[in-house]
Amino acid sequence: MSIQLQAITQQFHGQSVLDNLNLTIEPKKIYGLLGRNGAGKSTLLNIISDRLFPTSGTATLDGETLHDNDHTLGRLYLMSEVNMYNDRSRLKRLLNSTALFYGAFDRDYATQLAAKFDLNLNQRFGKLSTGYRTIFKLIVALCVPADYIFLDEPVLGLDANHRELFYQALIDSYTERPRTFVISTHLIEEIANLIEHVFILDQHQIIVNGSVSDILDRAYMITGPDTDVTGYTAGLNVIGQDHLGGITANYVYGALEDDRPIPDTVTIERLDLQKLFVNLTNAKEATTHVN
Amino acid sequence: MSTKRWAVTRYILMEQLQLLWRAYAIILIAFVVLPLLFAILTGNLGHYSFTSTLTDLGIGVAFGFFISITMSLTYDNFKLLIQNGISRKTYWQARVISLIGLSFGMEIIATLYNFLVTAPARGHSGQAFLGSTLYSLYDHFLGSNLFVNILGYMVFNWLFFIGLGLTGMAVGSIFSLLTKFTRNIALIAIPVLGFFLLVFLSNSSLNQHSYNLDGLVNFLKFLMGYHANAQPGYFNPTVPMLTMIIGCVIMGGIAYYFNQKLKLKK
Repeated sequence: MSIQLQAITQQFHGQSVLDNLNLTIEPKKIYGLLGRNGAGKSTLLNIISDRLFPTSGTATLDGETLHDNDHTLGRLYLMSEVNMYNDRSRLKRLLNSTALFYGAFDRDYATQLAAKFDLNLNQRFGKLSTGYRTIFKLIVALCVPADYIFLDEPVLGLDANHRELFYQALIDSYTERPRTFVISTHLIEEIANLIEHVFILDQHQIIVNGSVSDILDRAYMITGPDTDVTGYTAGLNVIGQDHLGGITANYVYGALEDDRPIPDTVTIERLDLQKLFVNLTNAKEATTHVN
Repeated sequence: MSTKRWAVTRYILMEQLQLLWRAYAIILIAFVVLPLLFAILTGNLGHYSFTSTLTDLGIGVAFGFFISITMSLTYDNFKLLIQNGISRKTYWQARVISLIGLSFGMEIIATLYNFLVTAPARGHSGQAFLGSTLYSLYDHFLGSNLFVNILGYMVFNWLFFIGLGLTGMAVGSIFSLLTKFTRNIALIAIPVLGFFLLVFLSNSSLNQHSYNLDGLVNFLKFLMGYHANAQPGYFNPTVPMLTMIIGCVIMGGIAYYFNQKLKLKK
């Protein structure tokens, strides 16, 4: 019972976007899909939802292909950054067509959410601002009866109040009907407490794939005088470094060696998800820079 | 029919009906209301014939244009449907079903209009009206029973509409895969090349000693249903009908092939 991606490779004009990527997305979990601009997050989501064809590899849901298959495609919904609706269509009509194609669409909840977000459903899609387009797409995403919901940049153009409202609606909706959400966003701090599992996409590969708590348990910030920090972190997986005056902070991803004595001048703290992401995805640049 | 296919067919059919209603409203305004207003304003009401205007509307011809254009509009509905978990195959099937259904319905309406409104208004008998249509080449082949001949005329037109719609689908699917730049180039290049091809063919037929086109002419005559010494009216309509069916299968196949390649452009 899951979405399985096997050996997905995607190339555009000879350039690799995704390279032999393997992934499992399980039911009833909230995932974060993180990656820098151009990392291939949207491409990955578009491949899963059959909007793009991978150069090679397969995507399946419960063993059935996701390509050209109404049964499997009907069990997922991708709210994408790209607008898929006709500008001339009124929002009410778009809700009707979604209900027609998906069936069991939660019309009452959609109306409630529209009222909460102050969205007039008689408007035409093309007349909405970027933020309200996002809001409309989010409302649809929360009300379709799909088992897997993919949200690509779900807070694009939303102000802080609407973002709060959305996160609350997401939690309420998940509590009411647990299903899988995959959230792809750059606002890591805002979703860090929402997600259970994280995928980090970098250099065309998934470089981190695990539960948020397990991953953060392996992420440390070692601070202190430069020589002491360097000495203590020698041989560890240092993914980044900061300097302030005589103080150095080394970011380590991986197990610390328990038998290694900790100098009194050195402190060890946990990293948050955003800091870990920044250092992991900067690591190659830093290496290149140092070399 | 599966629930999804039925839902998509219903959606496309409703959308087509809305567009069709608007198209006929525009035709009525352009060819009936505006000439009437113009006649009133210029004081030439005596020269305006409401009956004549109404009987010259050409419901079938308008539908032919309508179905070929609307069936070529591919990408917007593809976006909406893939957003809603509908496969490309179901999209293609639903379009074909709605095309067949809508063409059938419109052919019945157009036939009723032609034989119950236009023909009596012009003082023509049913058989005489058939003789003034494209079907005049075949209107005696099936005998003298008017009902049978009208039935043949309807099947002939229905197949023609389906062919037009499938051709529109095929062209639309191909154009949906092109970038805006390539599409614009194709829109300019195809009519120009077509024009040169026509000039070439007409020159070739004038200089028959340079190119022998007898084979091509005979083949075209065969496709039109001509057979040994047949006079117009006695051509065999089953040959062009079969030709249209084969054309429909080819166009449907092309539409399907390119429809399967539809993908998000951005």
